[in-house]
Amino acid sequence: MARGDGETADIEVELCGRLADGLGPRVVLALPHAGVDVAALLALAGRQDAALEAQIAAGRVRACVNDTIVGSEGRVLPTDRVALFPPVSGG
Amino acid sequence: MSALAILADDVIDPAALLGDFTQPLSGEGAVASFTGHMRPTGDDGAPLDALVLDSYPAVTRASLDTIARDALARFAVARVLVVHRHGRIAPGEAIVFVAAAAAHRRAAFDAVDYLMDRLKTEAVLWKREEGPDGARWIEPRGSDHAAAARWAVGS
Repeated sequence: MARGDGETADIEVELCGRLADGLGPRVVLALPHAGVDVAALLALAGRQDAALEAQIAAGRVRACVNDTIVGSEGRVLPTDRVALFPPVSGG
Repeated sequence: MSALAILADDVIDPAALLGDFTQPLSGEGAVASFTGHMRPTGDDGAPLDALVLDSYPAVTRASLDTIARDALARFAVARVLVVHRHGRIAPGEAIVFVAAAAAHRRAAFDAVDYLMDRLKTEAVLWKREEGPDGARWIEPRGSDHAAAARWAVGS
């Protein structure tokens, strides 16, 4: 849920699996109202925690926007429902 | 032809699932199934208290559904079932149950093998072993990726 504040709005991003080890299950990021691409979102998230930054730098983090996994060119608005996924494993 | 995938919140009963799966057979001559259970120890032999599978339910369900439907499309099978737990699992409990019904055995065997290889590497779940010494995240091994690559799928 976004909260309006001048040029940016806060977005609560869910951190899944091991990504929650450092910051807990959610991190709040300030996004421009016009949104950013996923690459910029990941860069912003990485600034919050060194371990998360390392996972992102290693290419081990995917973004899920409104229940769809999207690539680095995908667009994220402050009103979107966003989560970050590390590598998955079932079975 | 049908493919059903279920994300189960609670304990699953593989025998009952297999019974239900075979009850409506309509001419298929082969049913193959696989059940994965939680081992009571980690790879290092240390005892475990639980395996916890985190999910992102809508996306997790979609991933299970895609894998089940892909198996149905790829092999000469009439029906496919995938049931996968999430949440906290105790040693010995079933984690996953898959089954396939086909006219002949090879398609059923292959479909079950394929389902498990893809679930290991693509099901949107995150596994954590918990024991007396703390918690440890589990990711697919190289052998899991190699197994999935046999079907030219997965990452």
